[in-house]
Amino acid sequence: MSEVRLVGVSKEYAGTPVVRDLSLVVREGEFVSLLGPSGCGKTTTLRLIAGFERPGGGEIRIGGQIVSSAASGRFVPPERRNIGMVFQSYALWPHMTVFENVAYPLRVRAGRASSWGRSFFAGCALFAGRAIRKRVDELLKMVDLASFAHRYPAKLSGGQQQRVALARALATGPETLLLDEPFGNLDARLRESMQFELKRLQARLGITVICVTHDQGEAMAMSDRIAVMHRGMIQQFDTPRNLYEQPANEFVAGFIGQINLLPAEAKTRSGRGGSALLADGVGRNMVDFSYAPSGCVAPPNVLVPPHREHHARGVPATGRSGKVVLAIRPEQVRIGQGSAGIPGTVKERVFLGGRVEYFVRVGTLEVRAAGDPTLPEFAPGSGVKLEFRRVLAFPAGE
Amino acid sequence: MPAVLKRREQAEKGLWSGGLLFFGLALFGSFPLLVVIWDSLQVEGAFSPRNYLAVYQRPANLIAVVNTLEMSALSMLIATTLAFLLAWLLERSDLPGRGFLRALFLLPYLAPPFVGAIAWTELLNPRVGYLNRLFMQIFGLLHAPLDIYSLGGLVWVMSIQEMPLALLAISTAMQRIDPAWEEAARLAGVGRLRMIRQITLPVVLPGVLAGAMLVFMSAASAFGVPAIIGMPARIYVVTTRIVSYVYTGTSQGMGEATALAVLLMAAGLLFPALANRWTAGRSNQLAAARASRPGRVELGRWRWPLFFLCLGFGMVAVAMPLVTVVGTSFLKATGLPLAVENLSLRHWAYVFTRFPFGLESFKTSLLAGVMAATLATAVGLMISYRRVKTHLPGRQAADLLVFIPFATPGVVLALALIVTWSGRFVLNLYGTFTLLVLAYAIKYLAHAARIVAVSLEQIHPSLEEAGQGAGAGKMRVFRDITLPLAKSGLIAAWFGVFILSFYELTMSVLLNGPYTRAIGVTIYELQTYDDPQSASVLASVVIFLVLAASRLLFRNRAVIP
Ligand SMILES: Nc1ncnc2c1ncn2[C@@H]1O[C@H](COP(=O)(O)OP(=O)(O)OP(=O)(O)O)[C@@H](O)[C@H]1O
Ligand SMILES: [Mg+2]
Repeated sequence: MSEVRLVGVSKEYAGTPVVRDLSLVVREGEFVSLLGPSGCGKTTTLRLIAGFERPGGGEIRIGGQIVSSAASGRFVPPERRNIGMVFQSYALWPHMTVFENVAYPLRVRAGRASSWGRSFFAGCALFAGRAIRKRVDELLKMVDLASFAHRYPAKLSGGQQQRVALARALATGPETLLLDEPFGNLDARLRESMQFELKRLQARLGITVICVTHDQGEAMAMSDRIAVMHRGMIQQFDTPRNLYEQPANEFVAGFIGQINLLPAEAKTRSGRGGSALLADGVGRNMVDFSYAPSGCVAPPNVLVPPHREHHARGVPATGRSGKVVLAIRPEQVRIGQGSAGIPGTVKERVFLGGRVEYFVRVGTLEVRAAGDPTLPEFAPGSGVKLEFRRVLAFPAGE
Repeated sequence: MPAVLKRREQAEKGLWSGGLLFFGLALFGSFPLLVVIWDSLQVEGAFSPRNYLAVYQRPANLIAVVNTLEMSALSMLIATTLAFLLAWLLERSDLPGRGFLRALFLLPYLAPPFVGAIAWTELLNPRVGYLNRLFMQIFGLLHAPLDIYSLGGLVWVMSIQEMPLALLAISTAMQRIDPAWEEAARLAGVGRLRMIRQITLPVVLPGVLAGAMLVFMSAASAFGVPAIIGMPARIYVVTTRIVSYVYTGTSQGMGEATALAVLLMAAGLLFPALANRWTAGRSNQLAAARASRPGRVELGRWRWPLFFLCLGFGMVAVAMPLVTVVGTSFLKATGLPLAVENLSLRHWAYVFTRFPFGLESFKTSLLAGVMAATLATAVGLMISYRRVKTHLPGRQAADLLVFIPFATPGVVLALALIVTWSGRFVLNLYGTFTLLVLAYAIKYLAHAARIVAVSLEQIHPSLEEAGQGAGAGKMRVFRDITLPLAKSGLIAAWFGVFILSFYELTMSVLLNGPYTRAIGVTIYELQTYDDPQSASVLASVVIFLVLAASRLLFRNRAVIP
C-alpha cells in the first residue's frame, strides 16, 4: 500500500561498491522481484530498504516519506518503517513458541501505544492481550498452522517455519513486505504451492511486495515486474514478458531463459535494424536483425541519471567496428530441410518432456533450436537448414 | 519526527559509553601496571636501575628466578608430554570410557591448586605421609623414601595441577585433525607409532606448543603450590619472593619486589605474544573443516591395558588427593589411618564455631565471588556486545585492556593495585573489600568476555534484525531476544568467574586486610601454621562448592533449547 522509491542509492563495503547508483520505483500494491546472479547486491538492496544498512549515497522513500538519505543524514530506524520482512533463514526466535513469535510484533506495538495511554486506561493491557491473541489465532489460521501454536520453531519442518515467518512478518499489517529468497530452503513442490499462497495473500491484502530471488521461474510466476540486477546495477526493470521478449542488453538476454548469443558483424543498417554476417568461420551466412528496442530499455519508472544512461540504454546498437552479438531464442529458430536458410549439422538431440531441442553446428558456432512438433525429428548427423525469425542485436564486448 | 536519529548523534552515544567503559578498565587494569613499572625504575625518588641490579646481585633473588625457570620448564615438559599422550588416547583412539576419563583428568582444572598441594603434603610428607608409610611398610624401609618438600615434589604437584590446561589446548587441536590424513597414512603402510610421529604430531604441533606455553606461564605465575610446598623447604620462586618482600614491607624490599614483578609481567605478556606470532603462520593447516564423524584409531589388544593404565594414573594423580583432603578433615588427628574409629567432626566444629576466621572468610569469599562474577559478566557483556554486534570503534583497544590484566600474573596485578590505589591517586582502597572485588573482576574479565562473546556470536544477526522489523527498538531487541539467547553463555561466564574468585589465593594473599580475609588465605595460613586438618576442612568446603557449582552449570546448559 506504499510506494517504495529509491533514487541514486549506492552502498559500498570497505571500498568495494556493492550497490551502484540504483534507482527504482515500486508502485503501491505491486509485486516486484529483484533477480540476479549470486553476489549482485540483491540482499543488500533489500536491507537498504528495510533500514538494516545505511546508503552511502542517494535517497529512499517509503510511502512518500524519506526514510534514508545520505545527503541529509536522515535515517528512520527499521523498527519505525512499518515493514514486514521474511528472512532467508526465517530468523524465528528459538526461545519463543510459534505463538509468541507471531505475537511479538503485536506486543511491541501494544507496549508502545500504551506508554502514553497507560495512565488513562488501566485496562488497556488486558484488552490488548485479548486482541493480540485473537489476531495471532487469525494469522496462524491464515497460514494453516493453528494447531502448531505452542511448538518451538526447532520442531517444525522447513515449510512450516517459512509460514510462521510469513505470519510474523504480516502480524502488524505492514504496508510493505520484503522477502529474501523466501522459498530457497523448500523443495520444488512445496515451493510452488507457497508461491501460489503468497501471491494470493498479496492480492487479498493489497500490500507492496519486494521479493529477492535468484530463481527466474519463481520471479516470472509471481511478479508484476522484475528488476534484473548485475554487479549492483539494475539492468532492466520490466514485466516478465517484456524481459523475455525484449531484453535490454546482452546480460538480460542471457540471464532470462534460454537464448543463443552469436557473434556477428553488422554490414548494412537501416532505421530499425540491418543485416549482419555471422562470425562462424564460414563467412557467408547473413542474418537480418532488429535493434534491441530502445523504447523498453528505460521504462518510465526507472529513473536513469543522465550520466549513467549508457548502462541501461546500451550504446547505439552497433559499435564503431560493427561487431555485434545476435540474440535469438531457441523457439525463434526454425529448423527444417527446405532450400532456404543457413546450413548446419545436427550435433545432438535432447528430449525435454513436451518438446525436443537440437544443438546444431553452424561452422564454428553452435545453435540451440526448438524442434517443430509437427515435423518428423532429425537424427544427429543429419544436415538441416536454420531460419532465424526474431533476432536482436547488441553491441559486442559489453 | 523524534524517531529520526542523526547518525552522528548515535555514534556519539556509543562513543561516550565506550569511553567510560575503557576509562574504568584502564584505571584498574592497565594503569596500575604502568605505575609498577615506573616505581621499579625509582630509588628514593630518583631514576635508577638499582632495583633491577639487585635482582642479579642479591643471590636470593637470582636463585628465585632460576628456581622459577627450572620449576616451570620441568612442569611444562612433564605436563605437556602427559597431556599429549592422554589427548591422543581420548580424542583419536577408541579407548573405552573416554567420557569418564576426560572428566577425571579435567578435575584439577576446577579445583583450586592449593587443594592439590595440601593433599600431596599429606600423602608425601617425610614424617607421616600416607604414601611414604605405605612404601616403608611394603619395602621394609627405615626412612621415608620420598619428600614432598623438594624441587621434585614441587614439579610433580605443579605438573598434575597444570596438566588440564595443556590437555584442553591439545585436545582442541586433535579434534581438528581430519581422520582421513591418518587413514591415508595407514593405507600407505605406516605403523601406528610412526603415524603419530610423522602425521599427528606435526599437525597438532601448534596446539601442543600453545598448551606448553600456557603451562609454563601458569606455573611461573603460580603462588599457592610453591608457597605450600616450596617455602617450608626454603625453595623460593619469584612469586613467593615478591609476596615475602611485600610482607616485610621495607621500601627497599618494595623496590626490589616491583623489579621482580616487572620481569614476571614482561614474561607474561611477551611469551604469549611471541608464541602467537610463531604459531599464526602454521595454524592454517588446521583451518580445514573438521570431518563430521572423526574416525578413531583402533588400539586392538592394547585397548584395555591402556584403559587401566589411564584409570590408575587418574586415580593416583587426581582422585586420591581429593579423597585425602576430605578424609583428613574428618580424622581425629593427622596421620591416623582412615578407619571408622578414627573419624570425628571435631575439626569441622572447631573451624565453624570457635576458630575466628573460618565462617567469616567463607562469607567474605562467597560475597566477593558473587560480586566479582556479576561485575565481570556485566562488563564482559558490554565489551563483547560492542565487539560482536556493533561497528563502534575501539574494539582492539578494548581487547587489549581486557587481555593485559588477564595475562599479568596475579601477584603482579595485586601488587600493582596496592601500589596504585593506596591513596597515591586520591583513592585509598588498600585492605578494602572493594579492591578485592575489583581485583577478581578485572583479572577474570577476559574469561567472562570470551564466553559471552562466543554465545553472542552464535546469535545470527537476522534474529535481532527480525526483532527490529517487528517494531522493537535496539534496547527492546536486546532485552527480549539477545539476552535470552545469550543466557547460557552468561550463566557459564558468571559461574566461571565466581568459582575462580571464590578460591582465589594469589591476589588475596596480598590484598588481605582485617575485613577481607579470603577463604584461600585462611586455608593457606592454617596449612603453614601447622593446623593442616583445619585447612583440610575449609579445603573440603571449597571442593564441595566447586563440584556443586559445576554440576549446576552443566545441568543448566542442558536445558537451553
Ligand atoms: N557485510 C558485508 N561486508 C562486506 N561485503 C559484503 C557484506 N555483505 C555483502 N557483501 C558483499 O556484497 C556483495 C553483494 O552481496 P549481497 O548479499 O547483496 O548479494 P546477493 O545478490 O544477495 O547474493 P546471493 O544471491 O548470493 O544472496 C557480495 O559480493 C558480498 O560479498
Ligand atoms: Mg542474498
